[in-house]
Amino acid sequence: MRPFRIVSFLLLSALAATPLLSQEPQVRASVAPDRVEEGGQVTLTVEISGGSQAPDEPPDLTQVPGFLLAAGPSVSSYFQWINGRTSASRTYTYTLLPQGRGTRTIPPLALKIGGRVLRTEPVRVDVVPRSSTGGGGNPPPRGSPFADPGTRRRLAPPPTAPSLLIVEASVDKPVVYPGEQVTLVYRVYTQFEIAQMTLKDQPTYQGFWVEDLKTDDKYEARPVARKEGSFVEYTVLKKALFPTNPGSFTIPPITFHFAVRRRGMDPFESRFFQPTEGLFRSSGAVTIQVKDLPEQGRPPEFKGAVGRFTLEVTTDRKQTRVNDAVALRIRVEGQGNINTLGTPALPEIQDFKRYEPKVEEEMRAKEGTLVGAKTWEYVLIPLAPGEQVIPPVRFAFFDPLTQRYRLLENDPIRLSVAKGDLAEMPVQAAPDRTEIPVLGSDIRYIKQAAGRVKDEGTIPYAGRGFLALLLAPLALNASLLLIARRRAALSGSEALVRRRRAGRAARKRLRRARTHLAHDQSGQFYQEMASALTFYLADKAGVSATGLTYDRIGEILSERGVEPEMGQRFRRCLEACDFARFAPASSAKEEMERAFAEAGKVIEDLEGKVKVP
Amino acid sequence: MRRRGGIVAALGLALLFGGIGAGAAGASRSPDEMFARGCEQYSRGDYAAAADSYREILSAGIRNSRVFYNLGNACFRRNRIGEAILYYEKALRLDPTDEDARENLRYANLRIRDRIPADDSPFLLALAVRARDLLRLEGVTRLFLGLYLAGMFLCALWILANSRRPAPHLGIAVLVLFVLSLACGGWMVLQGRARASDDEAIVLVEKVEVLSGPGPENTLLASVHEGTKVRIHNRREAWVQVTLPDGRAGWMRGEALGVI
Repeated sequence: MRPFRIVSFLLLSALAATPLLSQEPQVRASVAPDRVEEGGQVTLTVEISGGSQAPDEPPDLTQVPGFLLAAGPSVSSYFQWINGRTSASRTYTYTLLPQGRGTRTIPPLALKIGGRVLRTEPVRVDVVPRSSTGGGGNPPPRGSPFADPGTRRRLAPPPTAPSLLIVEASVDKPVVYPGEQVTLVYRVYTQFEIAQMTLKDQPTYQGFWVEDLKTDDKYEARPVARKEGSFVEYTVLKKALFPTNPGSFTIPPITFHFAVRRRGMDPFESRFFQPTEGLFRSSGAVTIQVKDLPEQGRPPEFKGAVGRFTLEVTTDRKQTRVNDAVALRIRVEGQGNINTLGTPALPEIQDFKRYEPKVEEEMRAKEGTLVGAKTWEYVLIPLAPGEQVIPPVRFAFFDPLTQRYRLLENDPIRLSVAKGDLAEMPVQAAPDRTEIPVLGSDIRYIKQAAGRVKDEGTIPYAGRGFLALLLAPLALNASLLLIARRRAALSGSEALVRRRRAGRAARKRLRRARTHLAHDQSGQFYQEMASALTFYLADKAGVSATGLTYDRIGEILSERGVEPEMGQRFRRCLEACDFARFAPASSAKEEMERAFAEAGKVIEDLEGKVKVP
Repeated sequence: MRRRGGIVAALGLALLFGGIGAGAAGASRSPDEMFARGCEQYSRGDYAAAADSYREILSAGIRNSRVFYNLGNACFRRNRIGEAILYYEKALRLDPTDEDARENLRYANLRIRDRIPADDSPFLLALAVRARDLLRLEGVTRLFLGLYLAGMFLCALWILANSRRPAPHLGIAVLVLFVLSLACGGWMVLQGRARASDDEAIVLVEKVEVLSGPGPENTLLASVHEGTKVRIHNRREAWVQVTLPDGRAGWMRGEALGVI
């Protein structure tokens, strides 16, 4: 029985599908109402009839200009089969909030069904100004019994008509600096009783760092008068925004869904039985101008902190030992975005090992502004003993109130580091040691040494004095040399002089002898010859010429190292002269000539052969 | 009574001379005072005033390596790199042993626009230049004089000794001293020429054009920037012929250069 039912169902379905496929789908968009007051809402219905295929995806209404999507789509389908005729339809329903005034047009919406694209007709919506119905234009004075919202609402039109429920977004300052807090407040003004409120659409705060400023769980009601009338005001959301970049930023509207209850005329009417109405309300968009931080006076330490801060740098102790850790706390406290505070520049500290800091943040809202503190805690290990100075930590921020940069700097902290125990001190391994770090470079300092500033540009050796200094000793030495020579000539030794002059004297005597020869004076000739020979030998030997006998001459010659043969020749020559001198007969001229030649030769040969004793 | 009068007269004279001295100092300060003032201004950070003080010393015709060095520092602090380099070079000309000036010159040369080719002179020549700069000219001159006079003194001794009997050892000593003093004399002349030379110059203006000839109508060859050192070959009216650090030659306006 059961298989039969399935088969019959399949058959029926096939039968039904055939005419359905042949039918063309049609799309239609409608809006209700087509005339709405400012701040009201409209319902858009997109209906697809004919055909059984559903569109690939529902029409996208998030980007329709002039409208804000409050809710939707909700989908409903309808299928009918009567006497072989089928009709099917699918409906998408949206709740839209028109923005601004005037005629708004919902453009053709595209639907992709079964590979085909179908478009709806454009739909017009007229947005009219909010009417003053209900005493909007001219609010009655406060405290008047007629000011009670309930009494006036009796004649109020249905909720889609002008309804005095307003959501407003406001900022405390429209122009700010990056990093400066701007407080965004969402307020609801109502003349209804609000039973429930849900956040429908949370905007994205692009370009801002957002911190929620805690509002009370319970909303405090505050009666206010607006130009539309008297309202009850609730502050529903409060946010602290910190712009991150300069420029113009728009915060899109926020949308709430309210369940409101009208107050009835009848004071006895129980509120629990009165139905609530759903209403969508959205705020306007808010534009915030973020201007550039000024360039002028920006310290190099500035890292983007904006607000008002104080700086405190402390160490947990002032005295320590080598390798005993010291905690250095840098605490920045004040108003501003604590989260984005950059680490204050801790200068390079020599002779300390430093670890990455431990960072702590605390934040709270105080009277609508975000205040807090951020702490960086460094652990420093002293590596060398002595009086160490931790140089000032600098922290710069921009104060938007005074519109000036401020640079905070603490006093340098002095630490006295004692030597650790030798046993405790680890021997530093070689790889741990570092080069003396280059922390900067600059020219060397000026020379300030006292002392006369003299002209140094002269060439010292170019002056005349220098030349004189060179020449004076030279002249001195030259004259010294001359004097030494002279003194040697004078006092050196007569013997030397006689020796040197012996040859010259002998030749002189021989010349005289030659004159005698020419005049044929044989006696004088031989005397001269004999004296020439005798004196020559005496001079050379350094002895007196008087009283020289032949024997003495022989002795002298042999003493002075003259060869015996030479000595014989000398002696013979001298004997011959003496003999001829004392001989009575005058000798022949040839004889004299021969003797003369022999004497000259002997003297010549003897030169240089007589040694000095 | 006479004695007291004498004292009064002496006091009067002292006052008179003191007054004259003070007056003279007020009118034109001595180079020493100007130097001290410049140093004080420099340490205060008033570099322009310090430079003026040092320049005043120079304008009195005094060339002093310390003054040039300090003036170079003052110019450097005022970001006048060309002038700073010029004065460091001048300081080194007077005192080639000044390591501070050498270091600051090197540092200043890091700031100039034009790339200086690395010194690629042969090893021996570089060694010789370094040896030449071991002592300043005054020192070399003193060394030369010492050697020369010692040689001359020994020579005199030798002459005296030799007249009695030959003294060969003294003679050798004299010869050695003579050779040494000759070498030292050569060194001295070399340094003196380096000090006196005026063929190197520093570009003082931000940028100067190098042309192929002495006149603006010539072809533009290159442009050199402040601080570059050039060698001067030739001068013609306002133009000088120079060799650039890379070896190229050209002509430029003379007023753009500061001769070292």
